[in-house]
Amino acid sequence: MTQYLPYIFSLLALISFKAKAQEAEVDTIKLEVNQGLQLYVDYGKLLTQLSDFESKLEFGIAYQFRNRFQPNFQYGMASVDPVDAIENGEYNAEGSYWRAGINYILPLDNINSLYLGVKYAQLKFEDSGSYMIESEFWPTLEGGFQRTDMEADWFEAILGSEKKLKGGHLILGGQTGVRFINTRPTGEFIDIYSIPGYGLWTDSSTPFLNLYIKYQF
Amino acid sequence: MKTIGHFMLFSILFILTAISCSEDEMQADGIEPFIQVTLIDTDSLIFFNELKTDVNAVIDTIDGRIAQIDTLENRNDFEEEKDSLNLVKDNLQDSITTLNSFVSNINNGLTILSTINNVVPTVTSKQFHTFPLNSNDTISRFITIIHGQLDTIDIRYDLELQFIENQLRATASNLNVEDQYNTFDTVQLSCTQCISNDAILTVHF
Repeated sequence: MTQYLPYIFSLLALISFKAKAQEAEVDTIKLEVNQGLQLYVDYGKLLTQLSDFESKLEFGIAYQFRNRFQPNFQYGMASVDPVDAIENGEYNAEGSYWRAGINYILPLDNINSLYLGVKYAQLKFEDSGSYMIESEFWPTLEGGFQRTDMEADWFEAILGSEKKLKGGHLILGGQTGVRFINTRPTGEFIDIYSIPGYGLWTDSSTPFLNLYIKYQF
Repeated sequence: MKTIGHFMLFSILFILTAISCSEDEMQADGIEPFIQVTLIDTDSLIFFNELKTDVNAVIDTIDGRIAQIDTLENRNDFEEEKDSLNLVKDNLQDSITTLNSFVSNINNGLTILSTINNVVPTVTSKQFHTFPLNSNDTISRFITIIHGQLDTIDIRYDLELQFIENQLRATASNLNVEDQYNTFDTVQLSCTQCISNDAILTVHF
């Protein structure tokens, strides 16, 4: 299922884009892109503060130019405790990362827009784990590991959608895409399971979804 | 209308993300190394085989007498005795069938194992008993009680920890039975370069 997500997202976005484009043609509205500084917070990650197995936070800054280009920068931190990482133990990965990139806005009208973007991200992180083999006959085998000062980086291809709320300063948005790992460390014996900011380490690419709210000055 | 459209789009994205994040729950079993042990009760085997021999000898004697009766000219006078002998013979053959099933069960290792290291097995009588190996050491000493008789056996091995399918597992290789504390009559491993979970140890007691 995971490998098809980018295609499904792209299809949905294209359908939405086509419908909006037709509306724009009919309405013949003059499209305007407001220039200005934007601050935003990922409210999807904020919600993870309520969960027991992960804690994430991400906020960012962007500047929207009239020529539709939007350079942007995000900083985030994450701590994840995936329960499936070590079935007979525990695992934690945490770190902080930044992303920088550029988006190109495709306004559908003066309220809604789609955008395409690319980003580069870098992460510093550490992980730790413990494991045990319990026995009815013998003492429990216990062990663990801790790895610090690890780094990883990756690229992101993005397709997003934004909607201006009343007044035009608040913008509700979401973006989806695929992350492509560039470099990452390899764990001995028990490999790195989760890369904070990137996702589960299951393949050299992984789909993602972010939901955010922006304020444009 | 546009707001509803966006809401639906985001809802679909949410659902797809939730589906993509769900994973099948796996059962964490087989992480402790073990060997399978078949327990052969040699004394009972000898006893039942000797009993079978005795019963067969009686059946042969009965067959001889029946054959002798059949050769007699006045054999009709011995019909009652012959019928009686055939009835006893049938009963003895039933006993042989029962004894054969006993011998078969013993050869298959269906012996009642009361305890292993003071732990009562979940199933006390089965062909292969699971003996878990110590993941903290390269030797495991087992103390068994079968029919009230206490026996000990030491299994020595090389131990290796492996991370397979998100499980930390211990694997024992080069399994060997230490003679020093072995009180069973004979023991035999099913392989020369035995690895835990695949190895079968046949024990005669």
